[in-house]
Amino acid sequence: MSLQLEARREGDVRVFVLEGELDAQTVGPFDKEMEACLARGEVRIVLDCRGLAFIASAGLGVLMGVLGPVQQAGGIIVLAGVQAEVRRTFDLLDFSSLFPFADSLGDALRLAAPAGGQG
Amino acid sequence: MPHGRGMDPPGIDHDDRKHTFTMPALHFLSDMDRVDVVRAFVEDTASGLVLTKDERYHLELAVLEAVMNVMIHAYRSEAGHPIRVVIEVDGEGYLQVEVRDKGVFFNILDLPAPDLQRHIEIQKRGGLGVHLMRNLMDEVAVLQDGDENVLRMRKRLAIA
Repeated sequence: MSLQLEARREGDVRVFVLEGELDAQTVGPFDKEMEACLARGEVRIVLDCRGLAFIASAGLGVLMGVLGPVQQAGGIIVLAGVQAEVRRTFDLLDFSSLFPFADSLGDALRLAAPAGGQG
Repeated sequence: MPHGRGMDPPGIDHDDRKHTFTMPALHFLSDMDRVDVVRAFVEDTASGLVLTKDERYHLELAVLEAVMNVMIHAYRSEAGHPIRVVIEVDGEGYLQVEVRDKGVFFNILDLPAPDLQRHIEIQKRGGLGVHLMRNLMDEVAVLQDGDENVLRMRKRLAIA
C-alpha cells in the first residue's frame, strides 16, 4: 500500500498525478508538495486522480487545509478522473461542493487554466 | 510477529447473540507509520465475508479512521500501545466492528459535525475522521468495558 506522486507543469497549471492510496501513512509527501506549490505561488492545480484507489480523512484534510489559501490567491483545485468509491468519500463529507470535478484530464486542465489561457 | 500483530482463530461466538460469526481479531501496537497493517487485516477479513464493493471500501475506511482516532486521541500519537480490532457479522445481518484500546477515554459522539467553511478559513486539517465514520456506518457507539475503551460501529449489509 503506497502512494506514487508525480508532479509536472502544463502551461500555467500544476498537475499532480496520484496513484495508490492516500491515507495517514502516505499523506506526508503529498502534503509537502502541496505546501511547496502554494509557497511558489502556484495556485492553479489539477489532481489527476485516475489511479487513486483510496482516500482517508488525512488526505481530505490536506485538501481542506490548502483550499483557503488557494481560493484567496484566486486559484483553483480541480480533481480529474476520480474513481466512484473515492468520489463517494468526498460526497459523504460534502466535499463535492468544495472542489470542481472533471471526468478527464483535458477537461480538468481547461477548468484550471486562467481565462484566456490554454484550452 | 512484527509490530505486535497477532490474530485469534476464527470461531462462533456463543454469547447471547445467535449465529454470530466472529472473524479473527487483530491485536497490534499503536504506530502512526504502520496503518498498512490495519488495512491489510481488513482486506483479509473482508475477503472472507459476502460484501459489496462499496461495503468493503466503507469497512476499510471506517476501521482505518477509528484506529487513527485511537492512535491520535486515546494514545496521543504515542507508539507501542495495544489496540484490538474485532469484526463480526451478527445474526441480524449487521456487520459489526469493535476497536478497543486502553488509552484516554474520549466520547467522539460529543463532537459536532465539522463546519467545513470555518475549517477552510482557519486552514484546519483534522476533525474529519469521526464525521466520516459516522457517515459510513449506520450506528456508532462508544462504551467502556473494564479497562478498555470500545468504539462499536454497525452497518446493515445489503446481502443479509
